[in-house]
Amino acid sequence: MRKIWLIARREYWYNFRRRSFLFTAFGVPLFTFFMMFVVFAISDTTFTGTGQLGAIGYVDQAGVLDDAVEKPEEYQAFPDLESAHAALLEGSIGAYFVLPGDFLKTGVAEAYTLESVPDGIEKQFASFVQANLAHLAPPELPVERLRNPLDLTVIELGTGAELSGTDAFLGRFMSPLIFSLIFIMAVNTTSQFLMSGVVEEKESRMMEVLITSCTPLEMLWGKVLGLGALGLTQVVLWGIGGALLIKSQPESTFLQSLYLDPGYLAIGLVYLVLGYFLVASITAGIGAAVTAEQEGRQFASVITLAAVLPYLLISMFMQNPNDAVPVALSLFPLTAPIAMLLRIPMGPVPGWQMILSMVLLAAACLLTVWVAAQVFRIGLLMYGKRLSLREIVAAIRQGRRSMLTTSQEAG
Amino acid sequence: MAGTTVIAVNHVTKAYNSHRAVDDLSFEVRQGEIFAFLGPNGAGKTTTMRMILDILKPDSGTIAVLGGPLTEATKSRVGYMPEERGLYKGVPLLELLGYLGALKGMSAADARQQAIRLLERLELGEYRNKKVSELSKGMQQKVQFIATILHRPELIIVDEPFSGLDPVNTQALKDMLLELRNDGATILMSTHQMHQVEEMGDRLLMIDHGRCVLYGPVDEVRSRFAHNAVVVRGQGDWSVIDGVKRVTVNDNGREFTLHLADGVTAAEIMHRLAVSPDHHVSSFSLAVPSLTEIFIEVVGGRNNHA
Repeated sequence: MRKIWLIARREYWYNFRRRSFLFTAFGVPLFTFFMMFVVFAISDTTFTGTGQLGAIGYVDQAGVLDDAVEKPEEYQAFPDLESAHAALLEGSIGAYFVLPGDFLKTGVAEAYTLESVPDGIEKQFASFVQANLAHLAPPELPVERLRNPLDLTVIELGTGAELSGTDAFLGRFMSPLIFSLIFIMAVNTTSQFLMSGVVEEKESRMMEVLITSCTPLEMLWGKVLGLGALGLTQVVLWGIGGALLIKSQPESTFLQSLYLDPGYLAIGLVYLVLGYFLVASITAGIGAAVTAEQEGRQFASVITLAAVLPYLLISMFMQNPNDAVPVALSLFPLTAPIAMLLRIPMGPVPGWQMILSMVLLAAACLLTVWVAAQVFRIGLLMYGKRLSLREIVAAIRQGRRSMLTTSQEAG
Repeated sequence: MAGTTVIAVNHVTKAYNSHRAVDDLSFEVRQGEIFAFLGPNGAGKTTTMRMILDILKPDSGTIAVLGGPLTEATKSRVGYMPEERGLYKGVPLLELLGYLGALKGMSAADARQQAIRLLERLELGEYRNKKVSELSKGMQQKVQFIATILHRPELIIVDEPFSGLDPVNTQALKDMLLELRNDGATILMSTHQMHQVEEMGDRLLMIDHGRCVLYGPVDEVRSRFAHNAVVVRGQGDWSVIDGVKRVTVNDNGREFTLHLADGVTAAEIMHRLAVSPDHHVSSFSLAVPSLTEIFIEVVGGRNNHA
């Protein structure tokens, strides 16, 4: 155990100080932070333009819009829903807002459009309503209405979507995307470090010195744990960055509505850790079996591609997360982490599937770490020669034999 | 304790595909000796050393190190310097040595202290916080040597320890190896440099094509290969002496090797020279071949047969 700890500690600090790690860990969140600020700054100014939709209609059933308040010139009042709807279909207006009779009390309003309503138009209409409310100032007006004039539902006639609280849906859908992206990046960075470390030790013959100081299994565990801690550091740093971003943009309904259920985060973390162990041990085994880093990366990219497969099939998860393919992908160890991250926010996952998937994943981890250690043992010393499949199988057999004999000796 | 077997190699064979790298090899290394391991390139020296260190498994035969198969516990009593040196490039020396020492079971403080002491000893003290990549090749090799002996191993296995070193550093390493031996360590050293074996080695093993060709105490091997000849310095026509078959001039031109006829002894020749008025002798010794000559004779001869 002491040697595993020593190796893990060294791997952690050595790679922590790498420029490429410092860049991904600190640079990427800083860059994202910066970009988000730019995007928010721009969206607050530019998108207030209303030109794209042309004229905007409204139907005021609540009687709150007074002619005394100057209205934007593209605004046009309609006496009833039918005439507004006809104008929309005919194309003389791009959208129309409806303030129902109980609007003063509830604030609920609707917008009808063929495609979508730019954020800027919503804001403009909201401030128009606000100005009217202030002018009219009916005695029964709740203060809340002035502060937050519209609770808008946009009905897109073209797509048939009803985007009630648009951002809530987006957040629910974006969270798993963001988490799986973080997962992919963290696992990718660390397993790449793992691979290049192994290849470096192999090429520099450092391996011969190390292997006469500890066992291949100790070495493998040390590396996997040390670099795993590094990957976790990266995730935590990004998490802090994300939390700061959400805090700094309280008016962004999108960020506020991200699906951040603590249970989901905890399960996500478990999958992240297990998924990392699986990918890392496979990568380490590959690193030990190949002769050059370049070659190793080609093999490793196949593994990564398999792991992100659910990401590529995301439309299937959105249509029916409990369909055969999403379920199969969330049980298969290599694809399970991302598949589960995608499934959970889209609907309840049966408990047995969750447990089975975790058990399978954990079992796969133990198996691959052990196999990788056997490949380590012979692969590290075969310089300038890639291991053939037959040699790998032989190494695994030999490992099993020696495990059996040691357990017999112990017994 | 002197004379106890530290390494016992027993009928060991290792083949790569159809090529037999090591072929039914047996020898032992005894406590407190410098054991020289010789052979041409590709003879199987490194393979044998890797099997001793349990990096490779022999196909057949047994190897015992410090009294049994190499275990995790014995590993910390052994120091190994591989032929192709390798150290983490981007790590400061003290940190690197501290890590390697700790892996061999040293405490952090002990490893650090010992590393500083050895770095000072090999004149690397001022580089202790430099990275390996900032050192010259010779310095890196000295660091690798320090890494090998840092944890005060009982058994030191060094593969070509002097290759690539200048004479000053070679001498420094040699002094340290002799000192370690005098302190009780056992040293297994492979080398091409025969004069190092002559100067340092207690016993030797020479292999070729994976098989043992010479094995025994260095002096004994040399005298076994001694031809019936004497080396003299002085003046006179050496070929006229009765019993001298042939005279060769040695490379410096001042020394002559007198090859003697069968049955003639060196003592008889010394007597004849002493009484001869035409000869003046300033030095007289038995012609013992250098290990280089033996090496060429044994290995070259075998290769000619092949």
